[in-house]
Amino acid sequence: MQQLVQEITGMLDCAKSAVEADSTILHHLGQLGAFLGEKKSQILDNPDTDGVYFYYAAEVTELVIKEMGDAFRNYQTPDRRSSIVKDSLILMPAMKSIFKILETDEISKESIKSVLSESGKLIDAIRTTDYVGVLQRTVKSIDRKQVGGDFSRLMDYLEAMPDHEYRIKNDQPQDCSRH
Amino acid sequence: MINPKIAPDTNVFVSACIFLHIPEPGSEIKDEFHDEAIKLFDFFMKQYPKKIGCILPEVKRESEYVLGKAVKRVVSLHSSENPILKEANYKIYAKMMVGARIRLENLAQFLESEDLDKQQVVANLKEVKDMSAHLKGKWAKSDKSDRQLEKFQKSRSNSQDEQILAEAITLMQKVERDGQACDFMIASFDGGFFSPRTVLGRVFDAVTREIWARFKIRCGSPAAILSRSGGRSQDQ
Repeated sequence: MQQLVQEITGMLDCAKSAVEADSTILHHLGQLGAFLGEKKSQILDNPDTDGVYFYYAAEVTELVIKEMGDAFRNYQTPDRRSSIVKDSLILMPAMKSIFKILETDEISKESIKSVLSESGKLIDAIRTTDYVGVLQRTVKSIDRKQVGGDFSRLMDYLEAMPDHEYRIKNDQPQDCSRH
Repeated sequence: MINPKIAPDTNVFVSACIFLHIPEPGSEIKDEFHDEAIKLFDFFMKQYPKKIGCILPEVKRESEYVLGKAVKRVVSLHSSENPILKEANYKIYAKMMVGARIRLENLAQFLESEDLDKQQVVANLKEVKDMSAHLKGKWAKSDKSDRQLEKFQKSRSNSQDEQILAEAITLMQKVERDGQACDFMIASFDGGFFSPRTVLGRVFDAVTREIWARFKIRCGSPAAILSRSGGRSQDQ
């Protein structure tokens, strides 16, 4: 998977024609997304609840991959494509590190530290790009009818976390203590 | 008070980040120490652009891991037999982590972060370890009445706390070398090292007294530190 991320990075970096590059990028993103879906299922099958740290990393990365795929499929102008390429390149280093950790299948204090650290770096990077919306979507894919009332209400509140908390502003620190 | 400088311990920094507002009384999801921790950060924000708070390198290094563990505890994950509930639990953890991680970064913006002379930190760490050995010897010889000292000596390892203290001393020395006298404080919930322990209304503080006597750094709960440094919160 790291190799696929590396190839996508190379294609984003080089001056290939958009049509040629985009179809390969979309293909690779599809493979990465499938890997993450499979990884999340494996984690859920594992009774060790420390798997949740890796699930969190996989969840955020999967949402980015999906958003990236949508962006590359739907852009209308070359300028928009340039903006998508620029934002995607910002996210690639942290994503590559997360894939490296997820591929090892190891749950240890060191791997937990690494996956939390790299997930934090990915979130920091996402906040500087137009992909920021994915951070608000981490709970939307749960089937509410199946999980029941209390869980469903909790998810409503989680989704309603205020937008202003997500995006990084460069002018001054954000007032974030009072809720 | 002259030039207060406050370093939150990792547990304070992390507690301040874990909160989910739910508009039903008593339904908030938060760390048990969140309310006290966030008042300290409110104080830092009111003082901005002056930065009274500072983040020590060890706190920065550990905060991500401690946050991950703390959110897991707050979300009360359990190995559910029901796969749908388990998935919902894991997704809630992911969402809580995203929010808490963002808050961690936002709150850090109100804290001064300085590079420290590593050799000086090592030299100060030696002094701190001498203090720890002295305190453990004190416990072994006679003084078994102090409950803070009891918790201190029972701890499997105080190495992270020792590192934090060594970095705090180094930062204080740096501030003073720059010509500013300062009242350096560490805010913590750790009753076995940086915060006095209250048991049945009695306060035990053998460790924090020793830190003050040797290094002139005051340690206490966020409420106590806030009260001392001119914030409105009262000691709890």
